[in-house]
Amino acid sequence: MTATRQARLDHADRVLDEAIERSLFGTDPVSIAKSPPGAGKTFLVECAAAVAAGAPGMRVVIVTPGVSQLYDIAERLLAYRLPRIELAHATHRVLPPSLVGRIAASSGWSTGLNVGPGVIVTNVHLLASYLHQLGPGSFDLMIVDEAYQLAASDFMLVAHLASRVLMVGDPGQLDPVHSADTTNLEAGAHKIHWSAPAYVLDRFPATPVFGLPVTRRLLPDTSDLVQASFYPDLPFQSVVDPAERRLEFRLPGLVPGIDHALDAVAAGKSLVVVTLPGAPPPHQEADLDLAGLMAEIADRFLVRQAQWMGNRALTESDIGCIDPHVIAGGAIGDGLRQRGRGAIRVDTVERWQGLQLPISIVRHPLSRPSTPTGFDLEAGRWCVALSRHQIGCVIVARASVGDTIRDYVHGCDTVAAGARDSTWRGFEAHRTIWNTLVAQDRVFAL
Amino acid sequence: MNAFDDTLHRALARARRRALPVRTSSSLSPDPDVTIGIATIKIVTEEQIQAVAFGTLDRAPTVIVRLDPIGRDVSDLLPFARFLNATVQRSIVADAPMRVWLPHDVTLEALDVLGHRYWRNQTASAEIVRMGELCRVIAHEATIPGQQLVADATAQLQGHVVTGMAPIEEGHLHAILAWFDPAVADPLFEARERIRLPASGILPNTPDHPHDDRVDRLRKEAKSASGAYRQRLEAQIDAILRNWVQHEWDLMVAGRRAFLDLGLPSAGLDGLVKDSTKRVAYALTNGFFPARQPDHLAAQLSVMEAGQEKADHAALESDPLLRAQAMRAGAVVAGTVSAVRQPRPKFYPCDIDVDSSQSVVRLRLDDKVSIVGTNVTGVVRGLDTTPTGGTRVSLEITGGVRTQSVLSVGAGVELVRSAFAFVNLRALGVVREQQSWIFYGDTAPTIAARPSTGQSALAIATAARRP
Amino acid sequence: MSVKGSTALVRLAGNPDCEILGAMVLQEGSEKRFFERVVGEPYDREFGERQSSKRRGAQFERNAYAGDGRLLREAFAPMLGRDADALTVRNLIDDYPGSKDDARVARLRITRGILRDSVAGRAVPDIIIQPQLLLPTRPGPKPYFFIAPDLLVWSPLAGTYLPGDLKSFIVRENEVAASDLARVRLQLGAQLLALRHEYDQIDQSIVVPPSGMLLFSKPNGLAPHAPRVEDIGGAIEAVRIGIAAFLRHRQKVNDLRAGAEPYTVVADLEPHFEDACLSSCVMAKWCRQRVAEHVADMGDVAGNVLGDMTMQRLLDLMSGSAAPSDDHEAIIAEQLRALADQHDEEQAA
Repeated sequence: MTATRQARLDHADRVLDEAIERSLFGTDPVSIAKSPPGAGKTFLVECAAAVAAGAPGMRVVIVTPGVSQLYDIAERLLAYRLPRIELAHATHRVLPPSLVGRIAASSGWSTGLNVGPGVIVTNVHLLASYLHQLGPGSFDLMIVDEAYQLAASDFMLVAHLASRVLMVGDPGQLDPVHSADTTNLEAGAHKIHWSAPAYVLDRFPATPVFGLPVTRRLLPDTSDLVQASFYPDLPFQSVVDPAERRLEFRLPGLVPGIDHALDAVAAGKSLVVVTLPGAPPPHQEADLDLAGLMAEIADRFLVRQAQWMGNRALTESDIGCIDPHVIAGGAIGDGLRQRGRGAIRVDTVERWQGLQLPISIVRHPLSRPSTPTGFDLEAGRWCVALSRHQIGCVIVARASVGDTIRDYVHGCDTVAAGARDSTWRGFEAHRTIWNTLVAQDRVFAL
Repeated sequence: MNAFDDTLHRALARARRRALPVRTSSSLSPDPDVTIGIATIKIVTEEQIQAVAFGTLDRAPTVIVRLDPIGRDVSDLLPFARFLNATVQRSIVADAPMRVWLPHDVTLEALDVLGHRYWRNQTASAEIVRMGELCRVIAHEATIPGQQLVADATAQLQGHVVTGMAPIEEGHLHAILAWFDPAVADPLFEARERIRLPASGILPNTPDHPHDDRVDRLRKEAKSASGAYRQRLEAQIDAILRNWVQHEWDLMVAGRRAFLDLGLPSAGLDGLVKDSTKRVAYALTNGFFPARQPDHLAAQLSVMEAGQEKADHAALESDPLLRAQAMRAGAVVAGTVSAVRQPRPKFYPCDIDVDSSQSVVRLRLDDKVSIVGTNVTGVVRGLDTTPTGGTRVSLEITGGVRTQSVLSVGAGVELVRSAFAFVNLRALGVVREQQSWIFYGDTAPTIAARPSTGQSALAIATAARRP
Repeated sequence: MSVKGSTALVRLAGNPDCEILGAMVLQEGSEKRFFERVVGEPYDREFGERQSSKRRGAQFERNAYAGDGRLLREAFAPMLGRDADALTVRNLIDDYPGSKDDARVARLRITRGILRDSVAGRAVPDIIIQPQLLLPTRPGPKPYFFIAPDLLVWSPLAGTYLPGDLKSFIVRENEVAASDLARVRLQLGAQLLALRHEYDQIDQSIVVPPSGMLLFSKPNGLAPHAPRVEDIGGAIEAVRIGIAAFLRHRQKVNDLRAGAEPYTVVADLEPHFEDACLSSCVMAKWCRQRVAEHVADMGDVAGNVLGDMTMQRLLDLMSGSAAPSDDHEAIIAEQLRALADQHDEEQAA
C-alpha cells in the first residue's frame, strides 16, 4: 500500500464518518452522499444503518427505488449484528432463495414490523402502499439507497415518514426514466421528474452534500477518464492497487488485433477499443459482425485461460457483455452460445447498473448506422457501461465511430426549453473518451 | 417499426402508389354518439382564431368568421361557445363519452390558447368563460397517452399508415390524403403540389394565393371605412376566411373518412375509453384545475405514465404486427405450454412452463404477465435457458385458472408484461395532508441535534460485523 | 441573404455541409431573389415574415422595453435575487436608433464601453437593451458578422453578461416546437460566441459560461414568461462549425466565381439536401431534384438505410427484374418481395 493510496483511503474514511455523523446527529434534516462507481456506497449505507440502530437506538428504514436493490442490500446487512433486520416486499413477490430463513420477511406491511431499534429494508412502492399504517415519525432515519435512480415524484410519497433523510447514490448513472412528456415540468417550480437528490438540491441548494472521493472498483486509468468525463462536480481517485488487478494469460496471443487488445489489458490498460473496419450495416437491426466479434473476444479471454493474479482463473461468470440495445444483445448471446459460452451474461446498461465484474465487453453506443440520437448519447448510459469492470473493459465498435464523433453537429432540439442539455453533455463525454483512447494508442483495429 | 422496415414499407407504398397500413388494429375507439368536429384558421404568432367551423360530422359545419379577432369583443364566438357547451351537456346527461375531431395539432393548440385567454377572463361573459374552460379540458385530455376524446386526423393517419413520401411530408393532411384517393394517378406528384399551400390552420400567403396579406390589408382599410364600402370590405374578408376554414373542415372530414376506411379493428380499448371518459366527465362537471401543487403534479405524471402503459399494452394485445416487432425485442414471448402443474383442474394452485425459441426475453422474476387474447394472468417465477438456446418461462397462474384451452400442454401462447397502470391517489392524498417541507416548504427546517456516539462510524460498523 | 446577422450563421450551423447555402449567404439580396436568379423562375411559395408576426414581434419588444424595461426587470428580478425596482436598464436604441451601419457601430462602441466598465468593476446596467456585438470570421473579405442579441443581462453568478432574446411566439406552459427551439438556441450560440470574442479583447482570462436566456410570450397580453436559462454548449459549437463552413464555402465560391456574383456558380456547388430543408430553405425543391431519383427522396432515414441507391434500382430489386449485386441488396430484395407478397395477400383477403 503506497502512502498516497493510504492517504486517499484515510480521506475517504473521514468523508464517510463525517457524512454519517452529520446526517444522523446534525441539525440538517436531509443530507446527500454522492458516490462515484465502486466508492463503497453500499458500505456507507451499512455503516449508517449499524450506527443508527446501535447506541442511538433509531428505527431505520432503507428505501430502494426497485426490488432487486432491496434484496441486495438485505443480503449485505445480514453480515452485521443489528438489533433487528427486517424486509418488506409486495405480496406477489417471492424471497430469493439466498435470503430464505435468514431474514424476517413480510409480504406487505404488518403492524409487528419496525418495533424498536433496528433496520427494515423495503422499496418505495411498498411503503407508499401502506401509508395508512404509517405516519410522520414512523422512522427516525430514512436512508434512500440508489437515490439518483429514484424520481422525486416517487420519493414524495414517503418523504414525510422520517424526520431525517440520508440520500445515497451515484449522480453519473442513468436518470429516472419517464414515458410521459415532462416538457412542462422543466419550466415549473417542482421538477418532480428529476431524481430525488437533484430535486432537493434545486429547491434547497444549502443541503449538505458529501462526495465520496475514491473508487475501489476502477483502476486509475479508467477512473481518471470516467471522472473527467462524467463527474465534473465530484472529484475522485482510484485507490486500487494495480498489482492486485493483474491479468495474466496462460496461452500467448495468436489472433491479430483481438489478442493485441487482450495483451494491452494484461499490461495494465483497463480500457481498450477493438474496431472492425467500415460502418454498421443499415439493413440489420443488429450489427451481426460486431456481435460476433464481441462473442469472440469473450471467448478469447477464456480460451487463453485468463488468470486474475493472486485470485483465480476467470470463468464465464467473470465476463459480461453490455449492449444498449436488446436485439443487438440477443445477437451477442447467439454468438456466445455458438461458442459454447452461453453462461456469459449479456444485458442492457439498465440491467447492469449496480453490478461489477472483472471483465466487461461493451458495444460502443455510437456504433450504429444512423445519426446519434439522444438515447445513444446519454451520458449516464455510457458512464454505467464504462464503470462495471474491475480489471478490463474492451469497447467494441466499427471504425466509423471516429468519423461519427468528428462529424457530429449538435441539433439543439432534444431537450425542453430551460432544461440541462444532457445530450450535449453526453456527446462531450463521448468525444473526450474516444479522443483520449486514440491518443493513448488504445484502439486496436482489425 | 425500425428504420429499415419503415423504409421498405415506404418504398412499397411508392411503388403501389397507395398508402400502406402499418398497423393491424386502431388506437382509436369507434366514434361515440356525441362526436363533433372543429376546424380553425388562426392569425400566425398572434395565435388568435379568426375563423372557426364546427358541428357534427354528418352535415355542413357552422362557420364563424371574425372580422376583428384581436379586439376585446369576443361575443362573435358565442355560437361556438354555446355549441361546445351544448355538446358537453349532451355527453354529461347521457353519461356517455364524447369525441372531438380536429384536422391536426395546430387546431388543438389554437383551442388551448383560446382556453388560456378566456377561462379566467373577468371581462368576458360566463358563456365565453365556460368555453375557455372547455377548451382547456379538451386540450389537457389530448396530452394524456391513450386518451380517446380528441381525434387528430393527421396524427391518426401518420400513426397507422406509411406513404411513399418522406415522413416530414406526411404531416401535411392534404398531401397524405393524395395517397388514399384512387382518382389520383400520381400521388407523389400530387402530394408535393398540395404541400405548396399550408394545411395547418392558417391562410396561405403564396404569390398566387396571398390571402393572409390581403385579409390584413382589408382589415386595416375596413377600420377607417364606413357604410357600404366597409360592408364590401368585410364581405371580402368573410369570403376568404369562410373558404379556407371550410377547406380545413373538408380536410378533417376526408382525413377521418380515410382513417375509418382502413377498417382497422379497435379491440382492447375499453379500459382506455373508460379512463378517458371518466377524466373528461370529472373535469367537465367539476372544472379544470391545472396541476401546480406537487401532489397534483405527481398525480398528473402518474396518470400520463399509466395511460402510456395501458395504450402500449392495448396495442400489443390487439395488433399482431406490433407483437411480432415486440417479440424481436423480447417484450412479447411466444411459446408453447410444455408443462402444467395443477393438482385440481380449473382450480388454484396452477403453475405452467412455457418454452419459447426466443433467447431475448425481457421478463424478470416476479413480473406480472398476461396471456394475449385470454383472461389468464400470472407471475413469472422462473426463467431458464432451454437446451436449444431458447427460454423456459415458469408462471404461477393468478387469474383465469379455468381457461383450460390455454392451460394445457401444447397450447400456443404469447406472454406480455401486464400494464403497470396504478395511480396511487390514496398515497397522494396523504402527501397533500402531510405537506412535507421538502415539497411544500420554502426553507429547510433545522432539527434538534442528537447526541453523537463519539466514535467513528467505521469503528462501530466494524465492531458490529459478524465474524 | 445579408451577411450581417446571426441568421446566416444559424442557417449554416444547421447544415454546414451545404455549399448552396454558402453561396446564398454570400449573395447580396434576399433568399427569394437568390432562388429566382438561380432557377430562373419566380418563387411560388410563401416567403418572408407575415405582417402579423412582424407586428407582434415589434409590440412584444416595445412592451418589454417600455417604462425603463419594467416587464424585463420584473421577469429577471427573481432569477437575479433582487428587487425589480432596484435593477438598472440601459436601452441603446434610445442612444442610436435604427439598423443602419453607423447606428450599429455606435451601439457596438457603447456595448464595448459597458463591458470594459464591468470588468474594471465600475457601475454598469443590469440589463442592456439592443446591444451590438461583432463576431470575426477572418481571414478574407467581409471579416465579421454583426450580432445583435435583444438583451445582455448581468449574471452575478457568472460575473459576466449573458445574452438574452425575446421571442414573441406564444408559449402556453413550456411547449416550444423542436425546430423553433433549435433555431433560437443557435441564435443564442452565435450571440455567446460574439460576446466571448468581445470579452476576449478586454481580458483573455474571462470565462463566459455557455448560457443564454429566452423570454417567451405568455398567451395573455404581451407579458413574458419567466426567463428560460438555456444550456447552449452544443449550440456554440454548432455555430463554430457553421463559421468554419462559411469560410470553406466562401473560399470555394470565390475561387469559382472569379469576380462574378455568387449565384452564378451554384451549378458547380454541392448541395446537402436534408428533410429539414423542406421547411426552412427556399432552395429545397431545387436541391431535392438532385436526389429525386434516389431513395433519399423518401427522407433522411431512407437515405441512411439504403445508401445511394436509385429508386428504379430499388423497384427492380423488388420486382426481381434486377439481380442483387451484394448481400445488402440481396436482403433488401428478399424483404421487399416478402412485404409485397404479404400486402397483396391482405389486399386479396
